[in-house]
Amino acid sequence: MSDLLSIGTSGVIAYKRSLATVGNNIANVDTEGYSRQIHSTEQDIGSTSALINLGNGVLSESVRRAYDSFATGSFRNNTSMLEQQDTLYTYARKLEDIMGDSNLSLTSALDKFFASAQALVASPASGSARQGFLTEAKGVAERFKSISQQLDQLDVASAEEMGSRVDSLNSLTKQLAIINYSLMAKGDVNKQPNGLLDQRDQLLQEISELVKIESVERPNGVVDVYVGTKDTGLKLIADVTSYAVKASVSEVDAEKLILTLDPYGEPKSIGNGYGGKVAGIQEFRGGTLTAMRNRLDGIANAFMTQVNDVQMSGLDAIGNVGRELFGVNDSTQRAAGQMQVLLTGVDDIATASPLIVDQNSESSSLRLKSWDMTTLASNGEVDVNVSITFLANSQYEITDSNGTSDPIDYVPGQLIEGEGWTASFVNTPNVGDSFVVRTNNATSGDNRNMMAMAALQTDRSVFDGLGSFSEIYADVLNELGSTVVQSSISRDAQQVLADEARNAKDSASGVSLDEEAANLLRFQQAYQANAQIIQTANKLFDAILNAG
Amino acid sequence: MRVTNSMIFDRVITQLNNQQARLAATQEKISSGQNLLKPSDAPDQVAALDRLESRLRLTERYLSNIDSVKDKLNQQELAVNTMNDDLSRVKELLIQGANGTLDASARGALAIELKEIYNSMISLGNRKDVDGTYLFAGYVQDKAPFDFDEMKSFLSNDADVAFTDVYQGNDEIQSVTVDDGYHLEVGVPGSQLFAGFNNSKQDPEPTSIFAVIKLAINGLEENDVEKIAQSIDDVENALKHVNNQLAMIGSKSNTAETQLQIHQSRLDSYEVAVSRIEDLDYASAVTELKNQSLALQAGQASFAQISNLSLFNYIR
Repeated sequence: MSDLLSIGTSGVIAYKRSLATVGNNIANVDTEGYSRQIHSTEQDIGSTSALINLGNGVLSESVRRAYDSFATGSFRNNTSMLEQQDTLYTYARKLEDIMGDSNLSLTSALDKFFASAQALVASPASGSARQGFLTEAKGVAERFKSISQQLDQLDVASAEEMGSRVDSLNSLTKQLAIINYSLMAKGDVNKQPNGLLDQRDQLLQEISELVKIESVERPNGVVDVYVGTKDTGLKLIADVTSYAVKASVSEVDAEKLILTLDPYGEPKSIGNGYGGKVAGIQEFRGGTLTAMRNRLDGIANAFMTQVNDVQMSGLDAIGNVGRELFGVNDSTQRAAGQMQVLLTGVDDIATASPLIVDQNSESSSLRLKSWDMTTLASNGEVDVNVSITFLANSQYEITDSNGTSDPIDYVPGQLIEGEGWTASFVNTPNVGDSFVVRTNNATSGDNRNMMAMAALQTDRSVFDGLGSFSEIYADVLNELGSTVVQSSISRDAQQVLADEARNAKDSASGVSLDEEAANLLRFQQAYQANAQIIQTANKLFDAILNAG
Repeated sequence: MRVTNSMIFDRVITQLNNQQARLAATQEKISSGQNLLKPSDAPDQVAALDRLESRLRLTERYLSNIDSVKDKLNQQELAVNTMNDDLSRVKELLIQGANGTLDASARGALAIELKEIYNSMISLGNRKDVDGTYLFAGYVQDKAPFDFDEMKSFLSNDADVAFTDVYQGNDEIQSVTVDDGYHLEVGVPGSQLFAGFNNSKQDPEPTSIFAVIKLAINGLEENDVEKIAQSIDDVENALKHVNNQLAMIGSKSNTAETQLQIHQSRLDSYEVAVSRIEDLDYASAVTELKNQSLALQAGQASFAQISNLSLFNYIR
């Protein structure tokens, strides 16, 4: 049966609902995760048996979310990529702040150390120059240590962030499992409360900030969630069950953080690079942070080795064989953080060379070319006394503790080789010339070994030709700066993609106040018109009543 | 495409944030006067700057090494000049002593002044530079090259004592690094300055200044005209020797001076290079700041415009 009153009533009811939907949209204009809702109506077709088919008015069909599953999924993926890049960039900047700080520059500390070596070359007998050298040696060790400590702090901070991110992830997946449970009540996603679906999507969005996921929706709207893609089989949520993730430090590599899914059930290892903040932290630690620590350690080890080698191939102020200047407590740990100065006394600095040559010749001199302290001081101290006497213009004999050799023919340019040392002549000696290579007994004023120490500063062979101690840190800065620039570019590019994806999603699901304002007017007018229908029906009824 | 309210507002906020950030970066550059504040501003430039600054510090270090070399050489020059004066005085005294009219007591009186000169020669040999390094001892720095008691007995001993037996230094010359791989010898050891020349008799064994003065004192005290005459010739030889040494020290000073100028001009060029990389071009930075603040103002103004646009304004 169709009558004007019920038709008007159906219109009033329907447009009141439409107005309520508009009101709800306007109210939620700034609600995160809210999807615009649309009230759709259909005509009430009325009786089909009647001869004349009049409509019965309007029926509310549904209030549905404006939703584009592709845009929503794409936004989630882009969010994961953006958060990964952003995290990487943020940490790279922190690292840059540490290593690029001119107060923490390794170059200036190394330069100061070598400058103090130069000052000691100029005044080998000066106690204050010796003290200065030890002080700057400590300065270098301290500088390595403070950079290393700053890196430790970044290490700790990023591990802590990983912990809290994983906690959030576990809490979000738990909440989503509860939503899934609520969704189980109905069999069709179209029958599900819009708010519940919005909550579900918002949780998926928040999860994808932390880690890249793929969600697979069942017909009733329940989602199964996988890390990465569903092909990985790494289920975060299956049905109403959520599986926890645990972050732990690798036993073999302290910088590596391992993620384990379902650690207390059937543990499965989650690899790297699945996107999201979590992957950003993993990538930073495994990449840039590890690389920088390795570079720092490489420099620290090379520096200690080179300086100690020189120190141990000389004699100290008392005439003892030089001992190591730098050392570490635990050689299995990173060197930079535990470098220390082992020498305490200023007389321990080996400024002197172990050998000295007495020249008894008018025209020629014997110059030491090289020596090997291990051989020279095989019994703990240097004991060399070797005479080279020219019997004829090109024939000499060698006298040492073993006695005198048979005459040896001299070829100009030829090396004279002793036990643990080599030397060569400048100008050819004449008959009667003699030379004595002996233990240096005047170490207090000999600066030759310190000269070799100071020369390390500009020695480019130290890092296989890549640069000297003065230059190598510049490469580190260059590398780090380039990393930051690269990650900034990647982040900005990803930002553009994420913005586009957000716009696509918003374009479908977002609230436009202008649109709602127009709808408000439209539904208000429709409502008023329907009210007019009711009034007309009333007037018609009155007319019948008054007809009698 | 539907444009929603959150799209409009988010975009505006992002844009304003970006503009603010750019403006703040330029402002920081201007207030610090530095073009490069962190490695990522220009990684290769920051690296180049680090290398240049290191090179600059090293050059400064070489300059102070050269100063120290020059200082040591100056001290030696002063000492050798005094030796020269002293030896000339010895020669004068000997020429007086050679005068046939002088008697033994007059010659004895001359010998007293010679002994003074002998002593002053010892203290010259023991001179130190400002860092307390013995100027004429070679590598031996834990004791003075000449011991006064030893030298006194050297004088009073009748037998000839070799110079090497009283000289406590060695024959080595300290070098100081004045450039990468370039070392400059600092002066001459005592064994070269005070000995190593031949006497007038052309003995095969070289003699020393102390032996020459000793012979002169002995000649005067013993009233031995022949010895006095020989001493005059010996002193001549000694003077020649000392002058040679002085020339050698002088030439080393010249080398040091040349090296100083080389480093000084290098230092200047490094400083120019550092400033070119590091120092901000204020004119362009200020222009940039103006442009950026203009862009920000435009952004803010357009936001005000857009945010006023709402259909609700027209529904009454």
